[in-house]
Amino acid sequence: MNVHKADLIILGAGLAGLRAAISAKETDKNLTIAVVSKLYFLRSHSVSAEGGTAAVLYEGDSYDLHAYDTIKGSDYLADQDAVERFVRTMPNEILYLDHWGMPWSRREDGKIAQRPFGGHSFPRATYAADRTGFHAMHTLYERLLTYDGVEKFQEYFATSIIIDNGRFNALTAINMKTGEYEIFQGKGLLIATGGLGRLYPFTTYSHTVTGDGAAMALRAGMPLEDMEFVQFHPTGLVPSGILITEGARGEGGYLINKDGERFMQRYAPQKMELAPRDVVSRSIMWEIQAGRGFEGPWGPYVLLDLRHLGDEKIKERLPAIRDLAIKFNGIDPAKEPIPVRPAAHYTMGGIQVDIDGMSPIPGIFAAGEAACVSIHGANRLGSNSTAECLAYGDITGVSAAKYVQKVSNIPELNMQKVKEEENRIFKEPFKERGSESVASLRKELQNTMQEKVGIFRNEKDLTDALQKVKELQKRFENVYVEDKNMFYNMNLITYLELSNLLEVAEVVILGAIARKESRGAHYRTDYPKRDDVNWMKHTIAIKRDGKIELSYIPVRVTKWQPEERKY
Amino acid sequence: MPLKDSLYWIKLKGKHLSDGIAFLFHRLTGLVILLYLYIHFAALSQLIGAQSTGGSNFKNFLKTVESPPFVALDILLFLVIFYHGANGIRLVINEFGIGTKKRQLFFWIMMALGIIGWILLSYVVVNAFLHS
Amino acid sequence: MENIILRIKRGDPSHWEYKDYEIPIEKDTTVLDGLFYVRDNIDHSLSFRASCRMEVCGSCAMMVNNFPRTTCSTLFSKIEPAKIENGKKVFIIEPLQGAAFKWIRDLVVDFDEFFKKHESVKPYLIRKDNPEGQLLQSPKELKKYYILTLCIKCGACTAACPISNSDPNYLGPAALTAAYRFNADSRDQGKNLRLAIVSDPEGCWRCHFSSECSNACPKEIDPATAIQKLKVQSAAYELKKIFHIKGGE
Repeated sequence: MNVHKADLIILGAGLAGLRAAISAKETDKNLTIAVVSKLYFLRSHSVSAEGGTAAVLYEGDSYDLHAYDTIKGSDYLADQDAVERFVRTMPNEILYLDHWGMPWSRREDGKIAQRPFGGHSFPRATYAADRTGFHAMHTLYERLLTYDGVEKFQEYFATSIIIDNGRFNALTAINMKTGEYEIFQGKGLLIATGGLGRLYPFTTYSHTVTGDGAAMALRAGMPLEDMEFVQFHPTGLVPSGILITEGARGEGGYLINKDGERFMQRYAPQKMELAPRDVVSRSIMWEIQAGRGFEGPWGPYVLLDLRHLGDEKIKERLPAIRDLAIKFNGIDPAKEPIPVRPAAHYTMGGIQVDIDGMSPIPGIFAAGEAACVSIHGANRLGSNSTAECLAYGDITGVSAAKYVQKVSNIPELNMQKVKEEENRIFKEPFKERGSESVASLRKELQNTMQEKVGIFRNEKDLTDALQKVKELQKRFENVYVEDKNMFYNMNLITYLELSNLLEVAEVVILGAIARKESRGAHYRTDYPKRDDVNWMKHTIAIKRDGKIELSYIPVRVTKWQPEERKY
Repeated sequence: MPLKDSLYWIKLKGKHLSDGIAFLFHRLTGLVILLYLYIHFAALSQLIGAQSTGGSNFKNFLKTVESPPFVALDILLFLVIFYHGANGIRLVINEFGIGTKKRQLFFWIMMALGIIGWILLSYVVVNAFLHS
Repeated sequence: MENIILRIKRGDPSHWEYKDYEIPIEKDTTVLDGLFYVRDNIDHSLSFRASCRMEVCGSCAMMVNNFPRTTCSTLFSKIEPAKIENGKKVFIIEPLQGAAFKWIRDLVVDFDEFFKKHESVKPYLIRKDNPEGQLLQSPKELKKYYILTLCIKCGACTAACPISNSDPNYLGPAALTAAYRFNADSRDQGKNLRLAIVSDPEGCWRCHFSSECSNACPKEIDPATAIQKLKVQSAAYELKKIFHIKGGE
């Protein structure tokens, strides 16, 4: 059993994790940092982000406008003080990336270009072709190489967070290459493990996004906030679920139904295809329900038409999605429209943190999609997530570094909990039991979530889903790891990932059942209106004695009072 | 194990003639030319002590090699040398960053030049042999 | 809809074998879909790397019929089978080949060395000053190097490169392309620092332009051209150093 010690442990190496590592190093050059990820860092899901990063850069835009767009987009559930801090941090993040080598797309005058995006009333999505997340990830990774004292732990699967005497004690992990048990101890922990999209079968997420950080936090007794809000991105390529960026609509793409009409006219006459994602996703589903969608071997879909943009513009502004459409569907977007359908895309909820990124447990921080500050409230605007990862990766990295500077020593390792965890992940899973498999249970979980906890929810579906998840949790005890070879044992890893998914699924459903209103991405056909009187509050879920308890905290309002959300 | 690992050069399928296969042949022809160099020195060493023996060793040697089978081998050798030379020139020019994008076309142009050179030299040699 | 055979190399350096798995495929099934099918339904112990499934993370590169490909974007219908046995197409799946990749197990190889080589060329923007505001760059200047920024570090080029296959000390096409990417970036001021590193017998000069890297690259970056351009820079740098001309420090 190896014990690795560092001042700050950063779990997760996507945009938020790497940005936090850089910020922590900039705050204090002498800090030792251990960045731990279950993947080689450049494989993190952040590389899939395409469209852009929102920031106020040029004349005609203002912090208040960006904040207002974000807050209105969040259906007034966002904490406005955090949003105001976020929008003011963003412009510098764009410049930092530029100075660190990011190949931002440029205007004719050599300045960084921006484009329109859904829900934003000014074209402020700063972009690098349509691979913004990919380029940002590589830029941050490369920049991080310039610092000493940062040790990279790649392909270490973290399994639990040990909290002792109310503070961070250790992080337990499996070294995937050798199968050995490894412990990470530090003065502080920063969780940046991303979302939980693989709960759904039709999703833009990578296979590796299984809500590990949220599940570990839940098991450790930490609070999860607003977990019922899952964003469905309107344009997921059919049948793979691969993301077709909102930038395609930002550059002027149309959404067409079976009758060839731009149906967004009916639902968001002013913004049309550039309404916020929850509005567009629901619109597409309503069209399909009304029988105006196309039927295909892979389910219903609508079309995203980019033909009128012309080959030149597509090659220049949207080269990646052009490549994807050709490679995976054999369709050239300049000649044929692309089949799309809403796909699970983002988790607005996450580990509850304050405006500095610190969770209620001293020494444990969270940033990026894994955290809920909350910037995005009930619905996230496009190009705000890569932005949040940068801005709040920066802010949280700084606050984590400052916190860690004040801590004098690393606490003594709680060997008892370490041994219990060792038993949970190395002995229990291998005990031969029944005949269920990881894959079949996962498929059932995903299908349940898609059918009953999707874009349209109601009491009956949600309670059925909860029952099903509880049943799956019981049946999970019949699954065991057949593969005894501990070198790169993916059987064990997928087993542990499924257990994480089963844990967080329950929180999502409980939050959805309790919230008897429709707000942002959480839409209930039995409560279709937004209820500001009773429900303008955040859901907090904590696991105590094996049961998940829900409580509520108010939304922090500064300038903007809730109004009707029309586009 | 560099020697064992070199087998990967052959294992890779889907190689283009202008690329991986040209690379492989450049090395094989290089080895052949190296081998020929030793043979050539061995042949020329027949000249050692030619003053005292009247060069009889060398004259005998020439009788053996001025025969059809050896001339045929010579022509094969010229092919090897022209391939190595033409490909080599192509590589030198490519490594200046010139013609790397249209490398297939460039390869075939150089091969054509090499073949022409080979035919010309073979003609001259065979001609000289037939008239001797 | 047809059935095909996946012949997968299983095991580790101490003991290995090729196992056959029969799977159903459609017109647009990718090799990675096939591997997931095997793991989910037939053999839970199959180990392989996969994440984004959209050819942007670089996890899934493997040898498919002895050619390195990103399996998530390789459709069975678009590639030739290795052979046909009993009327079924056979596709051979093996881990990335060569001395540059230490084989761990099944289809998983060690990428630590690969990333270390990348790090060694200083693959980040180096500036001598730190100006305020944006670093201006015209669209033309961006176009000069942009395609080189698309490298997803999948390792296909390194598995295809005959030098990388037999010489573990060679920096490899991925690292050298990264070095040239920054040398060609108009905002960069660290060209000589990088050239000092790649102007090495095991750096850009170990390349002999077999250009298999450019054939294998799924993003069509053409690393071979980038390395030759790097050689030109390297030669100029070394000459300047020898004759003490300015620019060779």
